[in-house]
Amino acid sequence: MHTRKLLNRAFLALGALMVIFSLVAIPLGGSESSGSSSGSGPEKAGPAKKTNEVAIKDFKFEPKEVTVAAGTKLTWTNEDTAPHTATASDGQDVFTTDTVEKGQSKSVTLEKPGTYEYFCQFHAYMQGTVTVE
Amino acid sequence: MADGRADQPGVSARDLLLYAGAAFTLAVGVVHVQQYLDFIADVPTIGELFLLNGLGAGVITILLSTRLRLLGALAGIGLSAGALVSILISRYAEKGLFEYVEPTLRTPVLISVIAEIAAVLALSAYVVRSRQSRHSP
Repeated sequence: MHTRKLLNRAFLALGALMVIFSLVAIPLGGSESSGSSSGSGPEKAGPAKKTNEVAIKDFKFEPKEVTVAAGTKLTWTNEDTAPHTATASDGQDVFTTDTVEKGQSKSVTLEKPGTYEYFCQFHAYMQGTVTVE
Repeated sequence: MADGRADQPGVSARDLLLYAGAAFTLAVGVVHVQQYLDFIADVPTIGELFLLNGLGAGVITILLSTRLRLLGALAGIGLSAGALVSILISRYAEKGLFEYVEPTLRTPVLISVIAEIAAVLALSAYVVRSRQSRHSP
């Protein structure tokens, strides 16, 4: 058989495989199905938890709202593959963990009582709140 | 087959450009779907775009293997150039792309960028050579 015909058939098959691979990936991607929440609407924050540990998982801060006593060390642990930050919405001068790589933990200590909103500098839709009592 | 040269047994330089373009386009698609499965699926909008890139790469590779190869080449240039511009925006724009910032040039990103540049170059050269041969006596 001609080389060109062979190559055409090979790339036709590879293209079809790529289409199938992409379609099969649709239900496999993401972690929404493994969680207990349903639907794709805005995340409900729920009551603030009294904890000084925040997990960064599936591009979310968990828990989204935490309450700590003034002077407590607050730690973020990145359980995602992608790097993240926890940075005060009012600016890095207020607080920031800087980049938290996969598997890393970084902490800040907030002395001044108040409510601090924060976000991930790389993924601005990731947001959370810290209340310091 | 395509270009009315189906009976020619050999593979011309123009064909090689086409097949190289198809291979690089496939590589771009594979990296995007792999990244979708890895973690990008959790990122709003960007996740869907990565999946569409993989799907598009498959369809374009099919087109490149048929009589519609010129259309496929143009679509392939658009797909890879679009992906290249998107990664540059997400890497260097202050607010990223759809609020997604690529903080580091990770290995999959580098592989994808190299494949995107190679696909654009190979398919563009194929389109130029196709136009030249069409206009030559």
